[in-house]
Amino acid sequence: MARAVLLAVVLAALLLVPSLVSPYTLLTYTSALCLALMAQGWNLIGGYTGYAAFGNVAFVGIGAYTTGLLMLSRWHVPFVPALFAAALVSALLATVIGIPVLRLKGHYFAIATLGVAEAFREIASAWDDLTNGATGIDLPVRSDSRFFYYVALALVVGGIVITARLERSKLGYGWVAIREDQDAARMLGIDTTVFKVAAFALSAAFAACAGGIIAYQDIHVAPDDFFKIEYTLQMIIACIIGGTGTVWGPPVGAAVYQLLSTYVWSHFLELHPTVLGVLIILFVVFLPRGLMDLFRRMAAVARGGRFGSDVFLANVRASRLE
Amino acid sequence: MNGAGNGTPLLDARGITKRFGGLAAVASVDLTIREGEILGVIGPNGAGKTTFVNCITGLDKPTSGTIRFRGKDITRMPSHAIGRLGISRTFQVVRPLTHLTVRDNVAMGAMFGARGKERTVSQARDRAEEVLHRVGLEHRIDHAAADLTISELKRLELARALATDAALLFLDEVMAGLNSTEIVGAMELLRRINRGGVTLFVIEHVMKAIMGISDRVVVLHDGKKIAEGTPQEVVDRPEVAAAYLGERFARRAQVVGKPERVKVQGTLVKAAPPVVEEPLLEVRALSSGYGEVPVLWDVSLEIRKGEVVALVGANGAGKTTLLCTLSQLVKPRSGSISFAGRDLTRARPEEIVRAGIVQVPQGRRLFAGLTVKENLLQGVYLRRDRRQIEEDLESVFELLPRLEERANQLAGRLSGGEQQMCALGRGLMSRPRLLLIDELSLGLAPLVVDHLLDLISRINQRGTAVLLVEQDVQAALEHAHRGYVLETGRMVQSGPAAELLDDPRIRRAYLGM
Repeated sequence: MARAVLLAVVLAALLLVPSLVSPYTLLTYTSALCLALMAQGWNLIGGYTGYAAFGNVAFVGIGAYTTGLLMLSRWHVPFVPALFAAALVSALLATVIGIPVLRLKGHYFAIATLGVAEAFREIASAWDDLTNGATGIDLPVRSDSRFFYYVALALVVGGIVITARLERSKLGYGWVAIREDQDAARMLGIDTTVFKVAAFALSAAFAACAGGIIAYQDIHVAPDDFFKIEYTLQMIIACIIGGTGTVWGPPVGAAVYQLLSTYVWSHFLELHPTVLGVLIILFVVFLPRGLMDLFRRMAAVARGGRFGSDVFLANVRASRLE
Repeated sequence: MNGAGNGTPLLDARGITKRFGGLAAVASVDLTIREGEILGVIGPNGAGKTTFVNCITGLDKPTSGTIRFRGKDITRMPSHAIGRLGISRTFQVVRPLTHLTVRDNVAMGAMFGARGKERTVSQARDRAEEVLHRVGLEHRIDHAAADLTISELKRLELARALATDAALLFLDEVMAGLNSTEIVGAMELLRRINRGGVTLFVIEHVMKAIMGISDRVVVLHDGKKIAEGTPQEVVDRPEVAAAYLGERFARRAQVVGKPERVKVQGTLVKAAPPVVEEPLLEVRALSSGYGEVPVLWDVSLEIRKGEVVALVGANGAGKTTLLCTLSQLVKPRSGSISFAGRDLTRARPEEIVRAGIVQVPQGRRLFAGLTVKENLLQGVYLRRDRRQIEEDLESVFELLPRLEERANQLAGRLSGGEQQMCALGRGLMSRPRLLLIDELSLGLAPLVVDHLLDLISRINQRGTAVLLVEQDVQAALEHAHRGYVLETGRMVQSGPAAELLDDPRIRRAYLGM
């Protein structure tokens, strides 16, 4: 009950944000929502399934280009259908790439996905006829920052609902089994290839939606602006801050990351990356299971239960190197 | 014995071979599992038991051979397809889904499981409850798997496999880490599951358990099947005793109690009597283990200055864990370790080496890409005294002239025996006061082993105390002053080596009956 009230208040506040802040500040909120979307996607493959994908930015870029190119095409596809088409194209490409790449494990998978992202950046730079090369493409102008905010908010809310449903589905159970022990999952009769590819494709669709929104808002898509490793890192960091493999972790983590980043940027202009880096390290070391884990423990204490500091500290210790 | 099965073959494996590089981990094994039976599989470390199960369950592809399940060829099937045919297994190291509840862990098995018996998430959760009742974990149903004890985790792993509705279950050491009361409970549970119509293939190091529940037992050794039959038939086979205890001890154990004894053969260098009676290492009530799994309980041990002490015991008894705990590679949970009057219970591994305890690890662990000399010098990187190091190198070469000949050869190119010498030499370079040697003879020919054992005696005569873990029980005890016997993580016996040699309880510690 308290939970439902809290959710309603948060949602109402988020709906009111555009009326309360300046259009410029609203851009920060929209970026946070786009980051949340990417993080939600990464959470499916990286959090639930346990595959450290380091190339999800590829799908942000593919989403941006597909959305833009469809809108610019002779059919002049409207934005929202173009965005969904972009999600579909990304998911299909992720399926094709995932079938071979998801056979790799651990570092090899991470490096392979990193390579995939670089390859797509090169393709976008070189395929002049389609992408206009390094110059990039210009989208129709729409200077309505509220529109982008609401689209992004709707998709993040949709993402939360989808993640929550998946978590209790056979698909979600299968992902967790794969993360915990792939061989055991196989012996339980789970076709791990199918499950992993599904997670990868869905995560690509989320990333593509974020890419499409950013593209239309920025009205320009060029390879170096979209296929950049910062996006990959940010989505992973957002997941870690919030809590990987949880429904609420990625959006909460994205909000906190954006908040920290904005604050640090305005107070430590010169040292911005260093200070942010230190904060991230502190998060990883002291909250390896993310903020959601901390909230859960605090809620347990509020209900008269234990914080479980022994387990909490065990987590902290386990996250440290020898 | 319980329902011995109706004899219809359920699974038939023919000529299963699995090679890793040049090594055949499993070498043309023929094995039939009959419907309704409990088939026990035993064999020393590295016998190929787990690899065999991996081949059957599709986690490893056999190099050659065919596997039929209910007449259907499953040799090249992916494991999830094999799982859906009604074959499931547990894993040696339990890996529960720690963040989920006990119920969800088991539901995972019920959800996917055997073909035609898939369930929805909520049906699977109901089924989980039912299975948890069967294994006696219902009181833990809503707990996080992370809160379970090791014995409960083992039952959880079993429940997950059971929930798949498998007709054939492969159980890989489900009793490891359990205490003797828990083992009795686990045996009863397995019997009950079997009576419920599930055929069981049980790999186990706990001999008492496997001999107690199996209808038939198969013995694997060096990847080959060396015996098959009822538990009693198998234990009486001399080659089985030899595989576990070493050839010579097995022969000796058979004649113990009869007036004529087997004489010690060959002209071996006998260990010198200990120089001083002063204790060097004192271990009191030590317990340790890995993560959730306790391995050692309440172990006490003493080594005096200049003494060679043999540590014997069956596979999985905790010998290597004890050495690793002394080296602090595994942290003690309780108890104390004191060395030369100094408390080392909470020391770091590098402090242990500085204090003078050096481990020669199982399988040698040489740096294959470095030369022999470079490997030896790795043993002294904590030291700064260059002149002394030169002298020590001289003295190692004097003891092991073969190493001097091969000083500039890559360690990876040495023969097995030479590698072991190199590992010993590397240990000696740290000027140990106590050398811990793990499985000296592993994978080596008997003649080489004799030579290495003589070396141990000579190292000892130079004043270094030695704790020797060795598969060949007789050889170890012949070269030691005293011996200790570990059985499922507890010290069950100790005494002068000569007395232990004739003690029938050692054979029991290895073979369970």
